[in-house]
Amino acid sequence: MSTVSGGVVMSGSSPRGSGLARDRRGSWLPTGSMIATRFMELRKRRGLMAALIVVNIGLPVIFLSVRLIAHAVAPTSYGPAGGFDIFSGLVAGVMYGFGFIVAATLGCTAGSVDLSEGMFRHLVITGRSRLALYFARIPAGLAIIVPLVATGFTIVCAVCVVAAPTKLYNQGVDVPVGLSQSSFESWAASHPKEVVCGFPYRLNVRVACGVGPDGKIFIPPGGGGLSTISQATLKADAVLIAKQDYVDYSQHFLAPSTTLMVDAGLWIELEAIIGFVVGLGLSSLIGQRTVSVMLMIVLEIILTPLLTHSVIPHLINVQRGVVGLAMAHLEPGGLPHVFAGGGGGGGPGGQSLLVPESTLSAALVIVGWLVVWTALGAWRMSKRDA
Amino acid sequence: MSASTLDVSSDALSSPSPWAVETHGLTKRFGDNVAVNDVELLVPRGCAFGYLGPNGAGKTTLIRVLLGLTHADAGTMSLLGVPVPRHRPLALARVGAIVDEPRFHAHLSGRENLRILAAAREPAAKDRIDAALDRVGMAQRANDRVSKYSMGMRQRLGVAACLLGDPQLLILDEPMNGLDPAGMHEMRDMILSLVAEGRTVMLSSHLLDEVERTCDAVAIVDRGKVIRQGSIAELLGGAALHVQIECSAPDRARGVLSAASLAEQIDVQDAGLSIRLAAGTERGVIAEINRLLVEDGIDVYRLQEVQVSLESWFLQVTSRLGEPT
Repeated sequence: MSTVSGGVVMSGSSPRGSGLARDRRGSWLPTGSMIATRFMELRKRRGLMAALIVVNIGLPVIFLSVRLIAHAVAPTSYGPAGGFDIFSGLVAGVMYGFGFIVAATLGCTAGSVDLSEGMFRHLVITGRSRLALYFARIPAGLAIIVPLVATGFTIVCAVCVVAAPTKLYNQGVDVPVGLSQSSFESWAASHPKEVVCGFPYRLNVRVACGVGPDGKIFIPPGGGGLSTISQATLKADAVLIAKQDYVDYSQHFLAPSTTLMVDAGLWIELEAIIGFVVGLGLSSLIGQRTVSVMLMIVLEIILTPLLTHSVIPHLINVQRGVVGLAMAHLEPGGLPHVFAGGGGGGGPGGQSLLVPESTLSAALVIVGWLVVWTALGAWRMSKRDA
Repeated sequence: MSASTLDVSSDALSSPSPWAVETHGLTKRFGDNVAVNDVELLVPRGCAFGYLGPNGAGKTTLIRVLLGLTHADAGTMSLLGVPVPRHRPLALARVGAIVDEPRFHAHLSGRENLRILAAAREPAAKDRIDAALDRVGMAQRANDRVSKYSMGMRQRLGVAACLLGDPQLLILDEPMNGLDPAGMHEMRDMILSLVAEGRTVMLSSHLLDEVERTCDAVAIVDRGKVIRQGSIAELLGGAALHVQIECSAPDRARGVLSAASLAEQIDVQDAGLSIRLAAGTERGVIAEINRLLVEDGIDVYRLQEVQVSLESWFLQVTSRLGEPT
C-alpha cells in the first residue's frame, strides 16, 4: 500500500470538541427541532394540505352550508341542516372513510418523500440515528392530521346541535322523541296509517301499504275491498310494526348526545391515526408513495368491506385481523351506518352484519397494526441503502 | 459507547489519527460485481485530496460506504480517526458530504432545507445556516424555493449543507457538475479556502484538470481498486518523460537515437520526432540527445520537454485510452 506524503496539515478541532459530548444524535429519540422541521416540511406541501383540508373540513362545511341555506330559504321543502341523522351520516359516511384515506396519503408522503426527493441521504450523512429520523415523522404527521380532523368534526358537531330539528322525523313520519317501547307502541296504535305506511320493518304484517290514484292506500289481507280492514286489525299491525322498529327508533334523536359526539370524535381520530401510521410504515417499507396510497385505498374501499361481512369459516381469524373490522366493532353505538355494522348494528332489529369479534380482540388488532407497521417501517429505514 | 450519546471517553477514540480517511481491505459487492475491491486508502488531514477514476470505477460506491449510506462487505475504515460504522454518529458529526447530485425538497426554500438538516445535527448547527449560505453565495436566494434553483445553485446549497456541521472533513462527489466556468472557479477557490482553514476536502471528479489545479494529492481507482495514490508531484514524477524535437532529418535522427538506446519509444513526425523516455530519466539525457543529433550533422531547431498532465498520466495508468472518463 502506498502512502501519501507532504501537504499534511492537522486540523485544530476534533470531533470530540464543540459541545458534541452533549450531542445525542445516536439516540433513537427524535429531538423537538427534528419534529418541528418535519412538520414544516409536510405542512408546506400545498397540494397535500389542500386535499386534507377539503376532505376533512371542506366537504362537511359545503354540505352543511347548502343545507343551512336551503332550510332558511324553504323550510317546508328542506329539513334542518343539523340533527342526529345528519351527524351520523356525515361522521360515519364521509369523515370516517375519507379521513382514513387522506391520513394514509399524508402518511405515505411522510414515509417516502425523503427517499424520492433525495433528502434521506443528506439526513443520514448528519450521523443522526435513522430510527430517530423515522420516529420524528410520527408526531409531525399527527400534529397535522389530528387537528384537521378535530376541526372538521367540531364544525359538524356545532351545526348538528345548533341546527337540530325540533321534531323527530323518523322514516317520513313525525314522531315524539324519547318514547319508551310501550309508549312508542301506544303512539303507533293511535297513528296506525302513518306507521303502516311509513316504518320500514314489517315482518308478519297483514295490512300492506300501496300507492293508488289518490296517494297511499291500504291493501287488506286476502285482497278484499278496503272495507274489510277493521280498525282493530290496522292498530294491531301498527303495534306489531312499532315493536320491530323500536330498536331503530331508539337510536334516533333530535341531536347527537355529548357522549356520542365525544365517542365518535375519538373514533374518527383513531381511524385517521391508523391511516397515517400504517401509510407511513407501508411507504417506508416499499419506498414509493403512489403504490402505497393505492394499496391503502384498496384496503379501505375494497378489502375491508369484503372481509368484514361474509364469514369465511377457514379464514375467520384472518378476517378478524383486518383493522377495518376491528374499527367497525369499536364504532360508537349510535352510529349504525359504517359497513352496515358497527356497535349499534345496522341490520334488521339492530343485528350486526359484521364478522363477529370481541372488543378486546378488536383493540388488540388495532394496537397490533400500529406496532407492526411502525416496526416494519423503522426496520426498513434503518437497513435501507441511502 | 452509550447507545444514545456520543461518548467522548471511549478508548477507541483516544488517539488522534493523522488520516482524515483510512480504509483497509474495504470491499463492497453487488452480486458478482465487486464495486469496491480491497481498497487501501489514506487521506491525510488538512489537504485537498482527489479521488479519480473512470466511470463505473467505484468512486461513488466507496464514498457511500464511508458515509454509512450502504454497508461494506469486508474491511475496516475510519473517518477523522473514528472507526465506522461502530462510532458512526461521532465520526459523521464533523463530516459534510455531497454524494451524487445534490437534491433537496423542491417545495421548500434553500434556507428551510438547511433548517431540516441542521435540526438533525447538533443544536449549534442552526446558528451556522446564515454563515453557510453567505459563504456559498446563496444568501440572496436563500428564501426562494429550490424548484427555482439551477443545478449550480443546488451544488452550492449542497456545499452549504456540508458546512452546517463545521466539518473537519468534506467529501464532495463531482462538486463541479453543473457549474459554469465562473462557478467552477468559485468552487475551486472555496475548496482551497476550506483547506486553508485546516479542513480536509476529499473530492471525486472526472474533471482532471480541475483536480490538478485544486488538489495536493490524489488516488486513482480503477475497477474498484486503488491503483495509485500520493501527492500529484510525486505521481507525475513517476510518469514517463516526453520530448518533442524539430530537426532537419527526422528519419536519420531516429536511427541515431535508436542506436544509442536512450528512449523507450521514438515516433517520426512531419517536422521532427516525438520521444518517450522512461520514468525517472535524468534531465541530462535530454542534453545527450541534443549532442548526439548535432554531432551527426542534424540541425536541431527546437527541443522541448513536454509536461505530463494528470489527464495523460491518468489514461496511462488506468489503461483506458479512448474510453470516456
